[in-house]
Amino acid sequence: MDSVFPVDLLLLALVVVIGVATIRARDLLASTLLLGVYSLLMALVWTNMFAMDVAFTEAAVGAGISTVLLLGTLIVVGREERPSRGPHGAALLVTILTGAALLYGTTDMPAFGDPNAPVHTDAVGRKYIAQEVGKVHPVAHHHDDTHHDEAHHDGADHSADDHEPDTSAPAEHHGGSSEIHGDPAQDAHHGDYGTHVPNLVTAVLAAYRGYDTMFETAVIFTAGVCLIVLLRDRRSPPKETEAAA
Amino acid sequence: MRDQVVPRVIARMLIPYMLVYGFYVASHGELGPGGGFQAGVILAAALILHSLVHGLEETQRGVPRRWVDRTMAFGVLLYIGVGIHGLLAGNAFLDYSSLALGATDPESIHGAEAMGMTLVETGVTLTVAAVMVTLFDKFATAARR
Repeated sequence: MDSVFPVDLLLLALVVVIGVATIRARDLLASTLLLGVYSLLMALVWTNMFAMDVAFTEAAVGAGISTVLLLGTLIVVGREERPSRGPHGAALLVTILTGAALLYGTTDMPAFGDPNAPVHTDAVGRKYIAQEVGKVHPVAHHHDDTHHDEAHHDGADHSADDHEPDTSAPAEHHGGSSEIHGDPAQDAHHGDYGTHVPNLVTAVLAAYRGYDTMFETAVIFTAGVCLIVLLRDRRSPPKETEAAA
Repeated sequence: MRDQVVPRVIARMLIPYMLVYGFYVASHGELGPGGGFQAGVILAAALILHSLVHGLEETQRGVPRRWVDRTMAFGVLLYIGVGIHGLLAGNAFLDYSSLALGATDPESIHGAEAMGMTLVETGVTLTVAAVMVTLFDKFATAARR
């Protein structure tokens, strides 16, 4: 049992308490603020799991922006919740079943920090880290080019070439095509874009999953456009028609 | 809230740091935790704090609504533009190594890839910040009616 475990236990217990309190609170303002506390506690839990990017997002989005937006909603819908008649039986059952299924699913997951977890041993995971997936010209291919174009390079580039072959030479033999070389020791040299991008999360989000991130951005943009269209100032259209007429 | 001294002074102290921190997160997303999305949210939070304390009109005097709308579109266009630049350079869509502009040494290639990610993350930052500001703007306007 590691020393962080009691802290995690305390945090998770607090998360449960806050979660229940959020539902129980009749005052919606209190509920909103409790949700912010919930997000901050979850951010601490993610931090304990070394998931810094997740913790960061949770703190910025969950505790920050969401709270402000929910407060904005409260101004529109009012502060008091309508009185409800006790817990809904079927909804409670579905919730408990879903929770049980999720908990059952976690039993199949590798232990936290397990070095033999699939993410570390699986070929796809290694390609993630090697960051060579989907490139027409992998970096190894460009090493070939440097030798062809050597006449155009000046002295500074020669010195770079001089120490390159010991890392790149094995890759050139089987890395000239767009095929990924699977040797993890070899991948380590190309990983993290030559130490330009040490944060693997950003590297995966922006490179390996570049399309995903692009369309996520497009979705956010679409949401913004929908907002402008749906919630535009209704007083302005008559003015425009007057101007047109 | 304009006549309350404490929120006004606190906001005046916080907003510059929030903006700087937002830009820091945006530009260092590849080095530490964070990235475009978080940076956009932090930048938007700074503007929202400003409009909470000084009122929506005051914020929109400095950051006009039409510029927010343009920023929203520009972020997505920047992202897609980097992708199309890859296509025009004869590589795959979103192949950041095309940003090396013909240089073939590994250092330039890696640098170009990092630059491509930074550009793309900047696009995400701008779009997210603009959408969040719009979201608050619309809610606040709807609440006032």
